[in-house]
Amino acid sequence: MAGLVSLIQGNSDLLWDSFLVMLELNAASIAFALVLGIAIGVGRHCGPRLLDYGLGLFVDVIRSIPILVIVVWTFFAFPYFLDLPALPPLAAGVIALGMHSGAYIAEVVRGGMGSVRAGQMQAGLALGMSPMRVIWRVILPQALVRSLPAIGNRVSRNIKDSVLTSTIAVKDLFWAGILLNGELSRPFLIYTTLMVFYFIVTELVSRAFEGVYQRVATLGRA
Amino acid sequence: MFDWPSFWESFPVLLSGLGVTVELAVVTMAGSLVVATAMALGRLYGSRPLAMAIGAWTDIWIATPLMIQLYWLYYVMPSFVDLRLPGMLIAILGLLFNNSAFLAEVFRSAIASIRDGQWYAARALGMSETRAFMRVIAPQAFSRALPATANIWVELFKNTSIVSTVAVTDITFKALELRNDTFRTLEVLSALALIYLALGYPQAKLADWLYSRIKVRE
Repeated sequence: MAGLVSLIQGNSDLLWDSFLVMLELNAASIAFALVLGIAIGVGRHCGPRLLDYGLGLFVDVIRSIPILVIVVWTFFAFPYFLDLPALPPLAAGVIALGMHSGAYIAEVVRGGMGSVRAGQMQAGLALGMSPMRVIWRVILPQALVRSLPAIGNRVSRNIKDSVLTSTIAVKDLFWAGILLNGELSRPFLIYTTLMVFYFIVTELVSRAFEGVYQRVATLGRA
Repeated sequence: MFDWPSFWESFPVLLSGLGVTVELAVVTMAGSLVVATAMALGRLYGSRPLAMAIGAWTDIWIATPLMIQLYWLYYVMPSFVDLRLPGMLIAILGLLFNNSAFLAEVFRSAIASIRDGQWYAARALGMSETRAFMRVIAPQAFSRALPATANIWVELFKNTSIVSTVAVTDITFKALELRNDTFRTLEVLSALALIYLALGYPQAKLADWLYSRIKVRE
């Protein structure tokens, strides 16, 4: 324990910066994943068949490739592919994690929308709402409430996957851990602390989603 | 520009790592089936301390990133137990601990989802507890667990790529190595993604099919 305190005190700047990078990386990629997932989920649920097919292919392609390969490909290959300048590691990490989590969230959202009874759409239309408005105001909110536990799972998963971006030099906590271990050779202290840290974070996230879901679950039961 | 010759030439090199990838996945899954069954049974029918210990063990491996787990086993474990395991064994151990924890949860919830009435009926027919479990509970739990088990296999197959970070020479490792040698980053990594896609897509679709196909009957 004393070792941990002196490790943190001696490297507080590095650890604080890498903690912030970890937060930024996850906040941005989860936000991206939610937008992408909802857009794809809605598109597949009520778009034309061709759109459903195309988006389904995108989701299946992402689901078939390991996240590590997606991360590495996004950073090293994607810019060449489009003849762009090199991406900063953090941006590549956000895009890769966001696409990956977004594809899974799309499946969750689509399933959630499919579980809302058809009568809800008919009732909305009978009240004079446009189909898009019914989707936006009636179907999607209920679908999101019902999807909350599954989305929470994906968020924890995103946090766990985010350590893989250390392979493209995103300077997150795990990257800082590897760097410190290289200097100090204290693998037990450093890697155990990281395990405990990520354990606490993912547990807190799971509990938070669980707690929110318990409070709002009734809103999804119509 | 995309250099097609380098793209095609990377396939034989990458596929030389396919054996290791498949071996990792198959060995880990075979081990996981046994370990996860024991964990699920211990947690459902074992004594309270045993069930709690298994629960805590499961949470540790589920709630932490696989890459840190592998690093921990690779760099920390040797300072505990005085033996240096080969990288391949550590990779299998890490994948096994991680994968069996997820699989144990699948098995546990599948068994727990079988109604109590099934137990009572089997016992009322004069079956012993073991026989009731083997002949009545387990077969039904098995078909319920099958789609989720297929999904866990798909996840495991993809997760094997992470062992490349502890120097196990799977497909991903071969690709990162070849990229360093040739600097044909785009071609090599695209070939890598394509190989995983070709292998992973049918598996993912098969898991989806199982989900749609297997309906719960009681």
